[in-house]
Amino acid sequence: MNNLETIENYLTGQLAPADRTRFEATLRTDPALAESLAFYVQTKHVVRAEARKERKAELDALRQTPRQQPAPMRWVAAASVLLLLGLGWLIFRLDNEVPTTAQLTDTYLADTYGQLGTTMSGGTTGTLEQGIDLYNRQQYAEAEAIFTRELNRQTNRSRRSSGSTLKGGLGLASGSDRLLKFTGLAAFQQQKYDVAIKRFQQLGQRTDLFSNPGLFLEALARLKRNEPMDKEQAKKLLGTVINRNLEGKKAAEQLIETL
Amino acid sequence: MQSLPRNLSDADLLSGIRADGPQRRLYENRLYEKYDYLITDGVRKHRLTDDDCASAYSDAILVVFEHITNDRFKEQSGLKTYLYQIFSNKCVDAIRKKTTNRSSVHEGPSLDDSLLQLPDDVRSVVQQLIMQGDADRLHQHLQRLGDKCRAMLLAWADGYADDDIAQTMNYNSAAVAKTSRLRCFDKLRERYRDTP
Repeated sequence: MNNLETIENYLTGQLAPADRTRFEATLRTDPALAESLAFYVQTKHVVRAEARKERKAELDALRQTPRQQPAPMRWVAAASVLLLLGLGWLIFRLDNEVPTTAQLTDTYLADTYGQLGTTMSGGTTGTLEQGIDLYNRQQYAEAEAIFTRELNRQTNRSRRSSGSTLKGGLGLASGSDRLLKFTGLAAFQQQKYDVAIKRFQQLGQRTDLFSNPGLFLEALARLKRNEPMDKEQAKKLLGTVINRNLEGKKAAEQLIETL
Repeated sequence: MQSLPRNLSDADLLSGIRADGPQRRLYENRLYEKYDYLITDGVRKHRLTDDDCASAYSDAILVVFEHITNDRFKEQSGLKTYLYQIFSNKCVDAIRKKTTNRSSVHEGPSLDDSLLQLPDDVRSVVQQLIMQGDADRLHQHLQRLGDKCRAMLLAWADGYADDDIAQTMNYNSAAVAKTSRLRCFDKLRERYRDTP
């Protein structure tokens, strides 16, 4: 056995140079060692041919084995089909159906009140311009603070000068309708719908205005807040806007169809 | 033995086959399956039967396995390109075999490769001894050697290291596996020598 091990070590290059030289010298003088080496080489060749034949049979058997599509792939395929169908349906809806209430609300708000006009009639103050500027730069919290401060200032001044409630019984001075609207809008943009609704309610109660968006804006804020009964109340408000031909009537007509 | 992910890249297959170990065979099988559509291409292109082409493909895959493990495949071309080239040669061999009854010219390593390192004078003596040997009788004794010995010798001839053989066949170490393998070798030699 040691004989075979030495032969293997020789053929695989694992013998040290000195041992290698000695082995080759022995090969020349020892016929039994030469015969063992011949046997080793021939056996390796025969066994390798046999191993190859068996491996080939295994590979051929692989081909005969029906390969099933793996379950995860089937799920992926099914999910892909559903996703495509879903996307198709969504695109179809987007192309063919009327926008949703939320879409209409957002669109109206962005189109009409995304930017506030800086040219104001009725004596625009520097402070108000600053608030409008902040609003237009989407710094709504800062804008709301300025509008609220100005609103309070005007209200207090008005009360002091008249000693009674003016302009629709709310104690608000002329021109404060814009401040109410701006304060409500700034709150609306921050999703502070409770504050926005309160401001728009105050605005809506004003009876001295040629054009009053208060009811319509309150309806929008309620639709966005979407608490219990908000939708019903928004619907009533929109109905009132339409019936009384108030500001926002056209949009109200569109919105009410989606409710 | 853990299963392999379904979609393996060529790089994964190559490293899996080169890593040896008991999982080598799984990676080899995956390589076979990954490109077995070449069989259909071969049938169409070379007008061989499906079985002949499958046989040529298996032969080609076996050569590729060997070239991967002995680093003859240098990755200078893609694995598929390399396999396709060998497969095409094997298909040509199959055509030649059918038309001229000549055997393949693309055999694996020849018997003489192991002898190249011998000194010239010794090599000729050993070659004569091999020619005097009876390969068929040796093969018959191999078949009757016993399952464990035979499996061990086949794994060794298939290129598995003693370490892998030890793992697969539950030997304590590579050294123990090697001793057992050489004992099987010796057993085969005794039978071959003693039984005409």
